[in-house]
Amino acid sequence: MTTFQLEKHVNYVKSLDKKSDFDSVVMEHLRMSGAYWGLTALDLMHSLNDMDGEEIAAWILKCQHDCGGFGGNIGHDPHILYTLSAVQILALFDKLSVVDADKIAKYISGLQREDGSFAGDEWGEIDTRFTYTAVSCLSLLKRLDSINVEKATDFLVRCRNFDGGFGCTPGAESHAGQIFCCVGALAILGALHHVDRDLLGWWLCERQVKAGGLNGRPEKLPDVCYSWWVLSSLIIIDRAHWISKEKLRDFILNCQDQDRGGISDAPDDAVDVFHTFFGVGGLSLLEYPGLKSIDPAYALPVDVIDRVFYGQKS
Amino acid sequence: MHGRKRLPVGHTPDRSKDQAKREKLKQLLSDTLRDHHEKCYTKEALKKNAQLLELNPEFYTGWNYRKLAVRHLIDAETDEAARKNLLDEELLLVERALQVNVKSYGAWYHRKWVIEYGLSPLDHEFMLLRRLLKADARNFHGWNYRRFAIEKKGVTAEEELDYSTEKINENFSNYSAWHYRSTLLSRVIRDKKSKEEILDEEYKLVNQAYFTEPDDQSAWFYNTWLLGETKADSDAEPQVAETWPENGSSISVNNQDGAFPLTISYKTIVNSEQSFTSRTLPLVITFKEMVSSVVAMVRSQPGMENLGEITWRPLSAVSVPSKTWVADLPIQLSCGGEYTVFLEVSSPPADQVTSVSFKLIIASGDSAHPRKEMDPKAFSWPGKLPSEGELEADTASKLVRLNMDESTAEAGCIKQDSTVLPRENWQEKLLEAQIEILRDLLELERNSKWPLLTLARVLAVHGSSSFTEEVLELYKLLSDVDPDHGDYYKAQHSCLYIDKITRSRDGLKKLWWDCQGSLSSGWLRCNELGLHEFKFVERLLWVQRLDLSHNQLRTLNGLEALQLLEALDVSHNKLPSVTSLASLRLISGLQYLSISHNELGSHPVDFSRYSFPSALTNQAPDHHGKGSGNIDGNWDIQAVFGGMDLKVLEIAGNTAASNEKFRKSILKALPSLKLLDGEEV
Repeated sequence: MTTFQLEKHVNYVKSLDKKSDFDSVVMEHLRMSGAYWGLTALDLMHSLNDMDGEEIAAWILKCQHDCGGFGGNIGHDPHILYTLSAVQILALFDKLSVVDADKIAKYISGLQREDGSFAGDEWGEIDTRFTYTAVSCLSLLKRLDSINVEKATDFLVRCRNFDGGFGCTPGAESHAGQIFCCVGALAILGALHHVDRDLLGWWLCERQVKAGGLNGRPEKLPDVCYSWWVLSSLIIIDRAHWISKEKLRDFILNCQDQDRGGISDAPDDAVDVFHTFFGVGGLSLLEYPGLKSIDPAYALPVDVIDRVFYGQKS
Repeated sequence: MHGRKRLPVGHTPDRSKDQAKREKLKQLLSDTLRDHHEKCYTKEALKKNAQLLELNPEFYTGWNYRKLAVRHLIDAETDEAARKNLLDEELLLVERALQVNVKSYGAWYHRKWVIEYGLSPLDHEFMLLRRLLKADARNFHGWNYRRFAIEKKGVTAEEELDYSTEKINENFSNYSAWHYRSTLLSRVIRDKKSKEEILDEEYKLVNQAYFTEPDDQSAWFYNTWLLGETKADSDAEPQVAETWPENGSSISVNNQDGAFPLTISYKTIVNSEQSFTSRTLPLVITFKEMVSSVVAMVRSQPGMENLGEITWRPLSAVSVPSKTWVADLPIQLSCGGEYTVFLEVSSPPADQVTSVSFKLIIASGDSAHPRKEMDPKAFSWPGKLPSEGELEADTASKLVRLNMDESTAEAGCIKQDSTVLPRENWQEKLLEAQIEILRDLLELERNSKWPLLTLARVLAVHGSSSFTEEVLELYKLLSDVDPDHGDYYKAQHSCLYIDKITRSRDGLKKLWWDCQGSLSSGWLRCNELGLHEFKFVERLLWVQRLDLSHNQLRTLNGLEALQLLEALDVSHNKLPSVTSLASLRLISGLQYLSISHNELGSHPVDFSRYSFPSALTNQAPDHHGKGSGNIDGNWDIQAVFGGMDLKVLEIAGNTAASNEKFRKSILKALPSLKLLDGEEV
């Protein structure tokens, strides 16, 4: 069996910061999320201590705007996606106190619409991804009371489909990524009773293809990132035993670049930090030995979440 | 990076080409950011910005800048044709950007933003969509944009159905189109008649798909929806599922260890001056669906004191809307006698009233004495079930099957058999036609997963008891045919099986065991039944001792409805974590619990973490509130066991049981505990 190349992956993630090829420029606008993926992957692999938390926190603060929101990089506009990534990174380093939680909460609550949905930024694109982002971020900051929780829940419920899954907006097709967002948000809101666990669990477990990997919608190709989106949702609703974990583990391991580190979407494809994070996260959810456990709803290591909510170190 | 091939080891990409592209992109990006920050909205700046977005449509700040610039120019323009021209430029740019990345959220949203001006003809949008969904029939951005466009144009669901038919007929495995169809039909179905006709047509469509693409999931999932629609409507059943005490039943309450049917698990009313003699009787209502509030008037004849104070509380391990609601009926044990208690239950918004009455016989005479404390050591677990042969041979066995006569069964609330509601003619016809077609398909290919599963589901919805065994067999077969999803089929099997045995009086009687010599009340033994989840709990509200050992349970959710439960054996199951026991904390009278030989402490992942109210789900009860720094490493133990009144607990055989810290936390959380794994505390 293929083994997990922990050391190579750690080195791969660490090397990304110094890269200056075309791809790194293409990714420049979402550096905040890239940092969250990379750093969380490092933490799951017990290597976060190698990184300079002070320096990273200082950079994060430079990405914050007067409105309270964060941009994907210095000079880029504020957006709810990067605001969550910023807060998540600060939580990783136990540095949530360096930001003004009320100011961020004001930015996020300002993006909630009358129907309970959330816009991604001032331009008003609506998507359940942004509801998750808002809910997760505010919960980490203990500021959920700054939004209308009931309406936020109602909007998520309106996005539920005949197959038990969820889409980006009411009427939109179920998609495993959106399902993670909606199920994760409902979990954090204490409203999981809106999920039909058996119906959704069945749809989700049917995402596993013969080769062992998971796809995001029926009749699509498997992709490592769904190891996260599908599996975390299955764990939140306690139906992860409905798939073959061994086959999924082998699929993820086969997507590693055995020589240079990193994990790709499918075997033999080019690796990137996004799939590296979701591959490592998926293995953590599969209880792969030697990795830290990750929280399926907040997508941060369990010890980080327990520290945030219970003030304890494990 | 999706779908880009990994370079062979040792192969370095052509740096010079990459370098030039990189420099250009970098320059364009920095130009746009500069123009954005300086609010420079010249045509020249917009042109450079367009180049940037064509190279990488994902630069969201670039689109933001563009919107500001376009708005600025449009506001300055008075001529409508010129304004329209400006917007046309934007639509063209979006089309070019979509050619680079058809999944660019920023590009799609920019298009919506432009269309919102209302100056662009919508017909062009439909042409674009037609082209796009032809090239990639599953592009969800495209489908979402179509929803936006039909709303703008005011196309009705009926009209749009044709498009979904067209896309499905092009390719039966277009799940997006099937999904779209379900949303349209939900709006088209208005009354029973239209529903009947529509469902008939829809079944014809899926049947075609089965035979054309039998291995494709799309139509099979769609069938599940049709099945749900076929089932609905006829279920004009009352909202209330069950109550305890049951309507027409008779409950004896006394202060001694009485015989079956009941010895109530007494609960002292705290903060009452009469706490010594005041007791409460739990009243339980279960609904068919979760409800968020309950109105239940209670009165008694002759009148009892304190009835006015009854409040109903939801019993749910997760959150407020709940299927099960409970209230405490205060009983003055000094007022012996016979009462008739009337309940009128309703739940908003339906407000359908269900009336329940039961007889309450309070034995008088011993009310001044507190209940005799049981010696915990005298308690014994039901142990392994003796076989039928052993049972007959060994009449001295402590455990005998109770010979329950009809009156005892009645008094014990073992109800008459639950019946399945008759379906209407058209429903029956549709279901039977489906059964026939699925059987035909299986003739062609015997062990084909989707027809097998769908047949099982259709038969189950049909509900005729003559199909019960066949459905159970089908699920067994499915877990062999498709072992990767084995646990799903086993869970379905388990659910149907427990339905079968708890539905009939004879089924339940076989599970009833009297444990002679130890305690007088008997055990309901559902051990070794291969159960994956314990469902239909609402039929067993009267149970006080329950043996669920040697099953495959991973959660105890739902068990909280058993408010009379005092002893529970869930040893030898698959309970993975402390949080999987969370519902037990809602059963205040539970005193004996065995969770030995489960998987506590064996899993780094806590699978029940989100099936339980906690700070993580923003439902933290006060005692483990937000940010309190004084919790040791086992917050889940305090959260689940804290406040419980257990006397006897068995945890041996779990990985966690050998962990000293774990045991200490348990003892700390359970000050009332007398025996832990058979040893005195």
